[in-house]
Amino acid sequence: MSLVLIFFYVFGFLAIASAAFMLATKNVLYAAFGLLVTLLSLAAIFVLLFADFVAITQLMVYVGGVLVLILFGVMLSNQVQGRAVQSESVNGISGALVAGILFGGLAYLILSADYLYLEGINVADAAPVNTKSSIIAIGIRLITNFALPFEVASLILLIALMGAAYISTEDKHE
Amino acid sequence: MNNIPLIPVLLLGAVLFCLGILAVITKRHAIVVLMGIELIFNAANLNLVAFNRHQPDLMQGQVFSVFVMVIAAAESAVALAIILKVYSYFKTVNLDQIRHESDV
Amino acid sequence: MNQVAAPLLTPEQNSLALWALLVLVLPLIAGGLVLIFGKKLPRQGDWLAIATTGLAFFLALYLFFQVWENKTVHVSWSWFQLATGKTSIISFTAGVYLDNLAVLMLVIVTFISLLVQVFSVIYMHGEWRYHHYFGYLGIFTFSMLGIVLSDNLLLLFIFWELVGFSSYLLIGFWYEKDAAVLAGKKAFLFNRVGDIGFLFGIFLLYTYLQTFDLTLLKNAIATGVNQGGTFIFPVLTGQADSVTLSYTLLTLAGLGIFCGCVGKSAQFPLQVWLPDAMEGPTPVSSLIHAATMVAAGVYLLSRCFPFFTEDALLVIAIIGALTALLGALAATAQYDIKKILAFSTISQLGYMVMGMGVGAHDASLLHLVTHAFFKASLFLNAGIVIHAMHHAAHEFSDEHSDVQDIRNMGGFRKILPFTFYAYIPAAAALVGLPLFSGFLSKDAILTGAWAWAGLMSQNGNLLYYLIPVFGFGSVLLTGFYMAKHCFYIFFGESKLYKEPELLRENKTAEASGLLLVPVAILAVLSLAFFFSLNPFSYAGSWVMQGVSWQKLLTGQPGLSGGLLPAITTYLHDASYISLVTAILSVLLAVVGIWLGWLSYKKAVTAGSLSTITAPTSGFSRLAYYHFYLDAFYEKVIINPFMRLSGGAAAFDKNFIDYSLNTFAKIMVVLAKLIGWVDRWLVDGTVHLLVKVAGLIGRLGRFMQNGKVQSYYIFSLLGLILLFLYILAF
Repeated sequence: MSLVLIFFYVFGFLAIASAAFMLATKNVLYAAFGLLVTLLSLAAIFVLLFADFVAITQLMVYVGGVLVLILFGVMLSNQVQGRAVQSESVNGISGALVAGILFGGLAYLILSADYLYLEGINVADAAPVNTKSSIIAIGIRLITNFALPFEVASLILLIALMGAAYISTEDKHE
Repeated sequence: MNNIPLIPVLLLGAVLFCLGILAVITKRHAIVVLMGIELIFNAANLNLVAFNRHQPDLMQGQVFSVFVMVIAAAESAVALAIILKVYSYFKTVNLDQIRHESDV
Repeated sequence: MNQVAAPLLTPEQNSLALWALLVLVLPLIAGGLVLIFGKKLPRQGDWLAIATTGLAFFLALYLFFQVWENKTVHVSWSWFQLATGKTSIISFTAGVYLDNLAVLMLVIVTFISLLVQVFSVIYMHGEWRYHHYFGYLGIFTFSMLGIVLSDNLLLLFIFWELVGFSSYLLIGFWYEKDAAVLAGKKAFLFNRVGDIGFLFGIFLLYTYLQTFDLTLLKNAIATGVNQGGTFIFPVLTGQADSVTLSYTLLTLAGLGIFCGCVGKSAQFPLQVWLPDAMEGPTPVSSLIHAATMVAAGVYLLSRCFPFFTEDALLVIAIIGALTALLGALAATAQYDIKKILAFSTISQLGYMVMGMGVGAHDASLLHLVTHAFFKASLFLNAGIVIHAMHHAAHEFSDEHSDVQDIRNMGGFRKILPFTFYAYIPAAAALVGLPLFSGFLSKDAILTGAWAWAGLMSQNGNLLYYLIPVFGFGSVLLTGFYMAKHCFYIFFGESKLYKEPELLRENKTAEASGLLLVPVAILAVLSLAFFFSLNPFSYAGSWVMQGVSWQKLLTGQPGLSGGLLPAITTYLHDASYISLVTAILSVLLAVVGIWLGWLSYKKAVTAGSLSTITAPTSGFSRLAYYHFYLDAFYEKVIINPFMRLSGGAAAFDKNFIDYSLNTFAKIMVVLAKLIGWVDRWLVDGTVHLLVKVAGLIGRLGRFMQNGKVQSYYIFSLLGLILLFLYILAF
């Protein structure tokens, strides 16, 4: 068992446990922190999977952006002062059932699929050993192969920015 | 060997995906639902990154996961804006209560 | 039919008829107004009733002087028409008939009604239904005047029933008392029994003679030819052929009409209602049950005299004589001040009916007139006495003693002297002493009866003499009971209330003037002078001459044929009868008074005055209980009828109701069964369908609950199912 694997299992377990904690807790803030831990552990796993750029993006976008956004949302949408924001659970049984079945199905698919025969999947030569960072490759790809999606994504971001700003503006005419 | 096998990663993604779905289904608080959605996005990203290792030439997986993150960021921004708007209108972000009040 | 009288009409006749109609409706209008608005009027409207009755009286007087011995007014108007078949139309008329008798009755009725109403102002003072009383009196006066004025039998019958109705109202005026309610009911029902016969009589006459109009009936009867047992009438109005009627049928028709008289005039065997009717207020007894209403029967007999055959008249005479004797006998044993007078009224009405029966038509009517005055006077006197007794009883708070029992009275001669002196002439007139009105009329009736008996017994059958013997016997008894009545009330010592001032209104006046004046007027009118200039002979009486059959019936005695002329002739030949009758009746009356004095003395010495008990000895008990007629009716008619109805009710309950109930029960069980099937099978199916539909609906609603998370679950489930499908196949 290599150190990488151990780290993978540790962070995997941490991600699952904190996600479960996020589900279990009633306090929305705790849930947000549970999510933070999950996201951080996933970032770590991304690093272990040789995706350092994605891991950094994960930290910047999720932990630095989305999660802060979520915390602001929790703060702004809380009417009651001096009391923890509560979230109740519904559909416990049916939700667990659906999720369980779904997981069962997914696990069955994952375990029963024979990846070796999939076209273009190189299992044996999985890791480019000499590559220190994926940033160069991603950067090249983004402005060459994926230039159009990149521009569309930036456009989407602009639109989302404007839309979010527009939506959250207080309507003065009300 | 410092390679992580594919199957456990995929299973981890599946677990996180299901937990995200569970959060979306069971939680009443709209923001928690949003968190569940982020979890699902992350589970998807995990799969993309995991498969990227086996097809590293074009780095499609990682690039795509970056796109996913972009979309997720945009989505969460818009969703939170909507949630705040809904809150200012209904004075609550409880989905059931919103549903009842919008009935009237 | 209505065309017959038309050519005879003159404007003067028309106006007289209209005046008569005004007399008729005045009391009704006043009565109705007082009845409805009496509560709001000052003094509860008694002045209105009295004023209108007074006006009616003066109008009646005017009519009297216009019509009496002068003319006959008959005005009729078309009333209503009935179509029989396609072509012929029967029209009914209603009209006013004024002749000597009618105007005389008009005056009497309005006059006595006026006096009685004046009397009632004091007597009924403080009654909580004071205005109702005057309203009822108005209705009564109206109906009585209607009887008098009607020119046809149908209209007469209607007013006849109205009189019965108002009598019912007035007898039961104090409806808080059970006895009054029962008495009113009894009077009403007994009158109905008579009225059925009356109605049959009217129908018989109408069926064969096709008219209700009295004048036309009289004319039709007059044209009848007696052909040995049957009467043949020539062609009448509205008929194609002549009508042949058997003697028996006509007798039955006459007896039917007489039935009405038996009921209304309290003749044997229906006389039992009259004593009970004394439960009404005393002025009512005076007006209705002495002077006017009960006289309506006699009035009817006079109006219908031509319709009675000889046999019918015989029955009438027998009934009348029997009633006169029985009434007098019953009166001797009574101790109630009003009951004595009530039985006396029965007896006197018996005289009148007997007079009619024996053909002494005018004598009977004369007695009707004189009796109206002196009996009204006697009743009003009794009213004053009862009023005084009530007054005293009230002072003593004595609620147990019977204030109407003459054994509780006594010595009123000194306490109520004015009443006593007003009482004496009326009582004397009733007994039939000379110089008083009753002497004239009674003498006339008895003479007529004797003459009739003499004429009828010419074939040797002396039983006919029983009728005058009954009459003379009644004279003796009348003297006896009136003497007793008088002595008990006015002589000796007051037994119950010793203090005379308690019985009087105050120290100076014995009673209110409004009580005394009517009594005084009536007492004066009990004198013979007012009815005949020669107080010892009825022959010269202006009343008798005015109401003689020659004038009233326009010389047509009707079905009885030559009976009336024969009696007149017979009486003319045997003129001694009149004289002997007069002497004999006076003698008998005096003997009766003497016997009454003896009886009173005996009671005083025996001290039995103070013991107020029902008589024990055989005959007096029989008389006291009115020959047990009530008990007889109770046993023979009422009880069997009750038992019959009871049996019918039991049959109804035990058999019919039982079968019905059983049937009903079976039906219920069946229905329950069907209901069960319906509920579980039919309804069950329907409910099942409903449940299934509801379940599906609920499922749909459950899925469509508007929760996005639920939709998410379902879509995921769908996805899973899709996966499973793909994996399975």
